[in-house]
Amino acid sequence: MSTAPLQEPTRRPPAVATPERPRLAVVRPQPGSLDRPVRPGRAPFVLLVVGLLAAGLFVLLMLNTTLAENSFVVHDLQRNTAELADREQALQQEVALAGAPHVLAERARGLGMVANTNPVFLDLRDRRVLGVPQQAVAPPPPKRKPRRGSSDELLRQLARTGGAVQFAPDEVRKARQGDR
Amino acid sequence: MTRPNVQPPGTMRLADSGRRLQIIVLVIAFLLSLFAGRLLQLQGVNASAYAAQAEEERRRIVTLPASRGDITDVDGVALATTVEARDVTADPSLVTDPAATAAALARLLGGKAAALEAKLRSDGRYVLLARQVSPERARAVLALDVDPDQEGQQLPGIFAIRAHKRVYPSGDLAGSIVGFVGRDGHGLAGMELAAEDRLAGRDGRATYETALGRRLPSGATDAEQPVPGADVRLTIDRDVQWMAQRTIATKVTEVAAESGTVVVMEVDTGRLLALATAPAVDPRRPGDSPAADRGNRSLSEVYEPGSTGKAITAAAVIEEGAAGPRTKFTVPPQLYRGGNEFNDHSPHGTLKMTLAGVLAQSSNLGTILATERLGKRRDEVLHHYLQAFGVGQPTGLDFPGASTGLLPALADWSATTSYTLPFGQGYSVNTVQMASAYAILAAGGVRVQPSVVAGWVAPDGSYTPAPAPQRRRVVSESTADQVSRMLEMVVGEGGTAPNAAIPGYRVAGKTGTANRVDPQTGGYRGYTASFIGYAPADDPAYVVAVTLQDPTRGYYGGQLAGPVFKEVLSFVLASERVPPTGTRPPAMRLEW
Repeated sequence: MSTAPLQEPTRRPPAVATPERPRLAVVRPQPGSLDRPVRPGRAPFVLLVVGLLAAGLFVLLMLNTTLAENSFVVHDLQRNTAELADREQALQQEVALAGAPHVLAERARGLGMVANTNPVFLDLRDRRVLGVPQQAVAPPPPKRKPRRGSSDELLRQLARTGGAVQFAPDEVRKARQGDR
Repeated sequence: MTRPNVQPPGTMRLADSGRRLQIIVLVIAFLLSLFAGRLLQLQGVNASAYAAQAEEERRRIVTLPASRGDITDVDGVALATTVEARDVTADPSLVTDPAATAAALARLLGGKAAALEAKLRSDGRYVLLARQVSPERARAVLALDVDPDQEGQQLPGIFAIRAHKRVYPSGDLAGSIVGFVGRDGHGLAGMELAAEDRLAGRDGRATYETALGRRLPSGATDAEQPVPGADVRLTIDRDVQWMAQRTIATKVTEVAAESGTVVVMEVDTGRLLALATAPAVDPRRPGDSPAADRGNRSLSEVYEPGSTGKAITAAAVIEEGAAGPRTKFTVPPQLYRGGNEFNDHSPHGTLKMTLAGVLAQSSNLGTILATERLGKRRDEVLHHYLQAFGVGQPTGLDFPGASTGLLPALADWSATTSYTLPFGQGYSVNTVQMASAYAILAAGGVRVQPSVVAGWVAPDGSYTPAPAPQRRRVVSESTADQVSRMLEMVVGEGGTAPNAAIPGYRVAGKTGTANRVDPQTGGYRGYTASFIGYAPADDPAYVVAVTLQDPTRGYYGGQLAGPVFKEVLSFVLASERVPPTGTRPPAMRLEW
């Protein structure tokens, strides 16, 4: 703000003459003395900071790389796990189906087995037969077309399955008729 | 100042610099105060709200679906379970070559390529191509390559979304008990519906922070884990159920019946080993069955039991001391009661029968005569015992669509009601109720509440058995035994069902050939053929009840239902390892 001074500064009283004194000067301390340590150059400090920054950056880079790498590993493993879990699930379903009563019954029939309609028990303690044994009667052959099973085909099947042959019902019947 | 205003042209008057400075300072101060106020508002007053809003923007909430519990048979074999699946969807705007894509998809997903192509050409950005595909197949779909020239270029715009699928590993086995679920995975019928609350579990939520669509590794995560549903363990035995289901289905086809049911019940515990119905619903394709076949007929279908009800009448008469198995009756060719003429199923002259003979030969007239020995209390006694044996009463099974049947209240009885009830016409029951009534006789006069749930398996694997069934004495042990002895005569030489006998076993049972109420007209049309019995008669283990509705090739219960009873009960005795007791049934006079 430019407010003009209201009054002229009062004049000082005239200086009183003083006796002459020796001139004083500041004494600079000697380099290396306690009062004035040697100041190191700036360069090392700058280098230190730059070095720290560089190291930090590098560590950060490594950290990122490792994280990325690990996430790939995790992703692969997760996919692997998911695939295995899916496979397990599919196999379990297959096993469950294979063990279902109707499938077992169908396979047993395919092997020429006949269900026992009359329950009979054997008491092993006194070798008693409990119940009245009755001969199981084969149900009429299924209506679907039986597979033609030549001996060559059976041999090939034997070789393929390592001994397990699934007989078609008509083969079993033929074999039974041959027994008589 | 009175200086002459001489201003050289082209020179502007200098503004008062002090004033200008003042204005600028004021403007700046005003603006700054606005900023400060806004800052105060943001950071002071509304700070928490804005912080929350910002966090909300970063936060993503994902629902973690709870896995649905299994429904297993009594041995823990899954009848219904949940597996992972994928829904294959498409964004039509990203599909470059709809024709080739559709052709490639049709090979893997099935269905018509043209239908898929139409979907892929539709507007919008989402179409569902296939539901609940197995994960392996979905993977194959995603790996498909339409254009072999573009390496690594898979089907663009096709996605597989994680989903759950309810599967029934045993197929249509026990489908009418297990029930089925809707598209949303919630139960619509059977146990799937009855046990929905405990099967479903509780969905969880995962919350995490994201930035630019990526998950922040250091951000706060908060997961509320889903609570998986519990497994239901039924009392159903998979093998027995299969046997019963197959046998009744074969018989229903053979005699061209409308439907059939088989109930297998354990005498000591009231547990139901099988509840087979034919035609049965396939839980994998419930839509293929008409609505009437989607429930469980052994609980939902009520009918007049006919002669099988005579066992209840006999128990009432004996318990009240009005007659015994040897009590002699002179049965005329016909009886006139309540203004109506009553006959037996086949014409006969005057017969001299004991009560055992009346039951063995299933004489309607003999049964009426037996109840008349009760005297004036006749109606009350009949009503009391029918009710005590469970007629018109809830079975105690918590099952959707279950019917209690109907026992007319005493006040509603017409002149003939009191004469038709003794031989099982004029009231209605379901097959489980009838099986339970016979189980009372088998268990020495004690009613054990039937059950279909054995227990619950919690997600941690711990098993909680269902509460013990209620027990209530209905008739004395002596009465139950006497009725049992008489019922053995039914499958004997002079009985109505010799073909229900199992060689080596003592079998007690009763045939039923009832007039059937036509659901459309309400009048009698067609028959209900049934057989209910148990073995071994002197130490009963299992009750089997067989019902055939409206058979058109033959109609006698003994001839149609008897062989089914024999086949199923033989299988149950063998698979549950119940040996014959080795005793002989006592001789009992049927005539005098």
